[in-house]
Amino acid sequence: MEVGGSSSAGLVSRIRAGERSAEDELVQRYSRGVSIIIGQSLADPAAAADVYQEAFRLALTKVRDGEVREPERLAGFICGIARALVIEYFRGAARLRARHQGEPDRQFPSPEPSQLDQLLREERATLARRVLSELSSDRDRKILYRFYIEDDDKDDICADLGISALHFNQVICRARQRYKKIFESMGEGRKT
Amino acid sequence: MDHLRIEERNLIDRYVRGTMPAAERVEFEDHFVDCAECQEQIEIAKSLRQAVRESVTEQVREPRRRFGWRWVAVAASAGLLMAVAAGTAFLLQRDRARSDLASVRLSLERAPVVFGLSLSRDAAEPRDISIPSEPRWMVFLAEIDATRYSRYRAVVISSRGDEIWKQDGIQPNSPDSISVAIPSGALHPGTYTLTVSGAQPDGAFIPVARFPLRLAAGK
Repeated sequence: MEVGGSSSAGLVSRIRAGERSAEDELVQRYSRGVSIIIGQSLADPAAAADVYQEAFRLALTKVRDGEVREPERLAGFICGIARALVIEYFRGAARLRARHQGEPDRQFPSPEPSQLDQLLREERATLARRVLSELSSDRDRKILYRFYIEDDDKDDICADLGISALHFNQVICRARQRYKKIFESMGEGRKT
Repeated sequence: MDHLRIEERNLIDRYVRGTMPAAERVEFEDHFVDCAECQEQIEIAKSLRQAVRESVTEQVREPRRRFGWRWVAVAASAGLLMAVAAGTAFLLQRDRARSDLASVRLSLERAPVVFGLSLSRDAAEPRDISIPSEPRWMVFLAEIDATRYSRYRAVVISSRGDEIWKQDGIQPNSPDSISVAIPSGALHPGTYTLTVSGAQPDGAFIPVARFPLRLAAGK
């Protein structure tokens, strides 16, 4: 299921022709995916936001300048830019650490989570407890626990608990669907 | 990349867990950056994973708030450190968990495993430690000069520099030790450093001890 309507090649052509709305469309189309890619590597939201901005600035510049060799592979092109910037970010951080090597290893206290963060965290935890309590058996709860907390491999879990890969997938899939449903219903509750 | 393959190979969860080989990750990212369905599945998987972890943390935090480090301090002051060296574990209060999350109950019901970390013995060579195969608290009794600060911070850092665990506001058990309790689920096989820092009045932290650890999966 593609995010946007225009074909990638069409989008590239329109941007090259100077159509401003096509640039907005590109950002809108790839925004969520690029955020996920960057967020997967960068936990710091401020750093992730900087890399995100730079990724789209660079992507648009390159598209405008005709540097996209395969316009039909625009998605891969944008992903490549995001990944390169994440790597560059880590290289910069490593250089900074090397420069300050030998200085006293002073650490500063991390900021406490805000009340909103705390509230969201508690809300998510409540949701997860509901999902876990609704699972039909202790074995299914154990699957989720081992998969999400212990980070055990699927194969190991299946072997240890004597379940099939299909059963495993079903438990994980049902848990995700239930989690989403409860999450959405809570959102609806707030609106009313 | 088709969605049947994504489901069969469990790509969503493997991506969220960061266990994909680089080439497969690149291929999957190139797909989902333009796929609303996969993006949604990734976000749900990520959120659920975080939520399950937080639900455990929330539940574990509550009993620890009530009992704090008292049971560790009492045990230490009662001379049980000798027993620690011999591998004897303490009994942990068990009936405080508020919900029926089976895994959390397990980690609370089982006695914690305690490891003594001595500066003289452990400073250079990593201390070999087995991670319990079932969820348990792992209590590290770190031998330090605990008279210099009233509060300490403990941080576990992986060999790649990732912060795995952090706890602030730790009070000493005695003039020469502090206890750092970590749920076994937070640790995985690998080489780590447990750094203990003292909290200065201005909020800065001064490292006072480092304990290299080599963790292996227990039987």
